[in-house]
Amino acid sequence: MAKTIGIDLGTTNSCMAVLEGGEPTVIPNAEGGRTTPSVVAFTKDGQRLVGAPARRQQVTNPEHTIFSIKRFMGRKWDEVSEEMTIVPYAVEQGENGDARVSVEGKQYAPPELSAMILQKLRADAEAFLGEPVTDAVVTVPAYFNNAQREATKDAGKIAGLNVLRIVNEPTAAALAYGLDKEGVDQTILVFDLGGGTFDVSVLELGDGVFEVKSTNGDNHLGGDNFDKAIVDWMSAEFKKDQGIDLSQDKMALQRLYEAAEKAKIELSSTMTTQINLPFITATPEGPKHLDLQLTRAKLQELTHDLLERTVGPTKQALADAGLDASKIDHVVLVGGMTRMPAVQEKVSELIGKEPHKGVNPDEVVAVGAAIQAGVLKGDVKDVLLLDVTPLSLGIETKGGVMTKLIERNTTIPTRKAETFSTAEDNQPSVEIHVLQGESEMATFNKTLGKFQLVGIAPAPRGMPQIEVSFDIDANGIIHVNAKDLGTGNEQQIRIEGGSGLSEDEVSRMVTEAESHAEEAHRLHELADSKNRAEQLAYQTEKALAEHREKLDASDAGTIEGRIMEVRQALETNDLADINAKATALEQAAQPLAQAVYADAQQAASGPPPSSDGGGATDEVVEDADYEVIDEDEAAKTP
Amino acid sequence: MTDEHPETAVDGEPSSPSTDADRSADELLARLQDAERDHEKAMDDLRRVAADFDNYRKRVAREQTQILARSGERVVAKLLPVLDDLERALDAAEHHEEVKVLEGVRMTKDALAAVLASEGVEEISADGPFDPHVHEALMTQPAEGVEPGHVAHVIQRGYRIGDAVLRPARVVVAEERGEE
Repeated sequence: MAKTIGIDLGTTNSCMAVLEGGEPTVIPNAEGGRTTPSVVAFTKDGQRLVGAPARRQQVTNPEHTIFSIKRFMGRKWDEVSEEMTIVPYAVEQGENGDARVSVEGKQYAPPELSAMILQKLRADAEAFLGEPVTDAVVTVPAYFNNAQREATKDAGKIAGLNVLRIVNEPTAAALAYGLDKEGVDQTILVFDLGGGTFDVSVLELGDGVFEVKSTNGDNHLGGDNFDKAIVDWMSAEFKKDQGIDLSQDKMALQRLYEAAEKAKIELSSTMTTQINLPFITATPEGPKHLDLQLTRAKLQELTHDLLERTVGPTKQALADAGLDASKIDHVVLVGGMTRMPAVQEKVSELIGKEPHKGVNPDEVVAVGAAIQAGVLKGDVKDVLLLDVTPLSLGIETKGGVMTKLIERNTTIPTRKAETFSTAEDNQPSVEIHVLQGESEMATFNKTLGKFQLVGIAPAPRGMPQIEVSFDIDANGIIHVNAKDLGTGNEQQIRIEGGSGLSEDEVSRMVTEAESHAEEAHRLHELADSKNRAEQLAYQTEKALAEHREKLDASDAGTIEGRIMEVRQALETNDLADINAKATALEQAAQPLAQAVYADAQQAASGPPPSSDGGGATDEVVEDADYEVIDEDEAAKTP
Repeated sequence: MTDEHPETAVDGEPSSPSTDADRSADELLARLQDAERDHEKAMDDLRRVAADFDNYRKRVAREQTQILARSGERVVAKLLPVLDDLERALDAAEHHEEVKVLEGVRMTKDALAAVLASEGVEEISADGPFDPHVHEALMTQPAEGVEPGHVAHVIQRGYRIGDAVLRPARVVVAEERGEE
């Protein structure tokens, strides 16, 4: 089935996305960018350039480099007299009174130029997806009138795209956050502060249909203004310090703009940033460097007036919708500028609600368009409705540790199996303690069920192989099965409602696990150390029994003494002591290890040893990590 | 359907209408049950494949994040000696004559260039005609001895790794009428 892509055809930048396996993915362009400049250029040698290359040659070819074409889409020539004066290319009146762009004596309708952008996006999407793309959902500002929408559709047609639907940008943003899935009617405010335009819209969602109640904005307010404010400040500071005016130096300005954008972005995550531009200019006395510190507070001061310009339109949009700010259920942010903490604070202050975050604000509209495209195509995921398991699942293993088999947020149905062993020699049964939760230790997690697998044939610890499998079916029912691979005995348990937890319960359990995380980690470490030390004592004792005659009596005595010390330390739960005693035992056991090694070498040249010896010890070591099963020895030892 | 047809009689034995209907109803029921079982099995398989895919995607996304985080480490480790050299240069600048320092800084720059080259970084050539695929025009100027539309000079070098442009070369382009 051919894929339908979602396209955010923006004033400054465009972006596209597609649903893959029910999840939206942004499609990068051929140059690797996730957004594409909405710029078309006609070069002197007759080439047509679209995107970044078009923007890069703009200064060499201003009259033939078309940007912001969106501002002319579906407009009459006499409606755009103001816009016309801003752009360096020629805007003329077409036969029907429409605005037309004139390049080298040829008139282009704005949809034709937009189509060139769409064509590039389409070609890049085809290259990315490896299949032809014919259908698309394209977004437009909510305030676009019929003529502007028709013009956008025409652009799609010219680009060879079947535009299945024109979607309002704020609606797409709301879709990207799944706000249509909440099941109740609601009001949404979409705050879109992009590179060069500011739009605010109030939407009402009823019966799964979005209705635009009001829109407002400022056609010439965006990130570029914020950058300029920083550049002006930098150049004023530099003038104050050095007496040199950088604002007339094109090359210095270029570096200032770049540094301004970088500083602005950095201050979204830090409180202060260093702006460092060595050799920004030179005087007869030598090179000059620019070195300034910009704090978040200073940035807010510099851009305060710009930010204030969003207040009026927002209030007006609310007033036009006939709503009080308190009636807004959701706030959605669109546009890179909304990453700035001061912008987010302003929005929270105006609406009294925290905005939704999580989807990249540069891509959120394209993502929403892709979701709309998926809905129109009847995407598979809607039929299947796959769920995830909200918390991790596992079993208790030796030392009270929780060994996870299925991580939280795993999509179900799913199955996972792991092989475990016994902790004691001749252990006749194991207890499978099924746990749910995020803590490393069993005790901080929730018990879902317990069962015994009995009838394990007598064997040294670590030898029996017990396969434990978890299977969560599509209904969230957990089937845990334990099977003794030696005897074929098996035992299972069925747990219902394992994922029937409310969101509150899940978040409570996650928070609890976090609050116990440190303690759990300490206990886990202790358990690991105990297991290791205990294993070491066991192995050494076994090897000693076998190879005693090859050792000095004093060495053997020392080893025995150290084994005793380790076992005593194990009683104390003192991590440092256990580790120290284990290390001491290892050292003392070196003569023994040599004896075992010599023996194994000898054996290797002759017939294989009857059993165990070095070989068996190795195997036990291999299994040690997986070793598990209940420290309640009384229950297991016969 | 209630009429007796010879074909519906099993093994050609005569049978009453009701037994026959019962039998075909039983058979249909059995077939329905089979079909339902098959359907349920197929749906379960489909769900499992879809869930596997979903989990696979989550794993890949997780791995990608890790790879991304780690991929920088290798390059950064290679850059640390260059940082050391720069520190030495600064130290030298305080104690030694300018010529020596200059030489050291130049060697440091060479060392940095070598690290970048080992990562496949190449400088973008800025000779000849302006090419917006790899150059970015900062301004145009009349330039003597340079053909119009060609690069007059480079303000900031550009770099590529293979076909990917890391950063276009920032250039001044010779003006069209410059030569006239």
